[in-house]
This record gives sequence, structure tokens and C-alpha cells, in this order.
Amino acid sequence: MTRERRELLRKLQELEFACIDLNLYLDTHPWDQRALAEFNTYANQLAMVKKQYESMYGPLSNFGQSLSQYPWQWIESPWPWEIQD
Amino acid sequence: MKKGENKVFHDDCKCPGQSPYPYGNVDQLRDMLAKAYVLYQVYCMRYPLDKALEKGTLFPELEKPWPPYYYEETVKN
Repeated sequence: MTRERRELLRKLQELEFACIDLNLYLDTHPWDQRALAEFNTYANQLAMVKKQYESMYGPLSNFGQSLSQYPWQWIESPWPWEIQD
Repeated sequence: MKKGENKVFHDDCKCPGQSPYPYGNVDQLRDMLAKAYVLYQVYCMRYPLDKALEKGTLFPELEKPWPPYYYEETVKN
């Protein structure tokens, strides 16, 4: 796995985690405008980074959640345990 | 009704019954119970995203390592 790909994947994980944590916070604080604004910002960034990653390296999800180029790309991605630092 | 005369009732028959608790009335039962109070979280600061992923939380006030300070040399020695 190239350094660029690893860095993009890391960015994706960071954004995804921030969205999860802010989502949980907003469940109990639905009127917090700042948290909501940040959640929406991160959610937009996450969608963009996901799109960028998938266009460059193939699908992140299967079973119809992501598109694939030809040939079928799902089996080409390294499994998590195959990723080396 | 005076304090201490507030009897425990059975759920099904509504008659005053034998309390399963040693003191036998609701007022004393209230005295026995603890009350939990949890502070309401207020969003004032957050970790940078890379650090949040490492810490397991976006909110510094929720970071509670366990055992606390176990890896701090000054505490261990």
C-alpha cells in the first residue's frame, strides 16, 4: 500500500470517527448549533474523501454501497490485516 | 399521615403488606437509597481529529484512561 493511499485512508478514518462521536453527542444535545455545524462539515468532508478514495483505489463497502470499475474491484483491496505501516 | 406511616403496598392486590425491606415503610426506604448525579456535558473544546482517533474520543473531558496513570513512572515508583 502506497503512502498516499495510507494517508487518505487514515484521513477517512479520522473523519468517520469524528462523525460518530459528534453523532452520539448530538443524540443527547440536539440543540447544540456548533456541534451540529461541525458534524455537517465533517460529514461533507467524509463524503468527499470517500469519493476520492473510491475513485482512486476502489470500493470501501460492498453489497451495493459502492460502485466498482471493471474488473470487479472488491477482491483487489488489501484486507485490514494485510495493511502494513 | 405522619412520616414513617407510609406503608408499602403489594403491586397486585393494593393492600398494605409486609415490606420486603427491613424498615418496612417508604419514607425510610427513601433514606436508604443513593442518588446518582451526572454532570451535563457542554461542548467547549475538542481534540484535533488525528488525536481524537488515537484517544478514542473527540472530547478531552471524556478521556478516562484505566487504570488511571498506570503508565506514569512517577506514580508507579
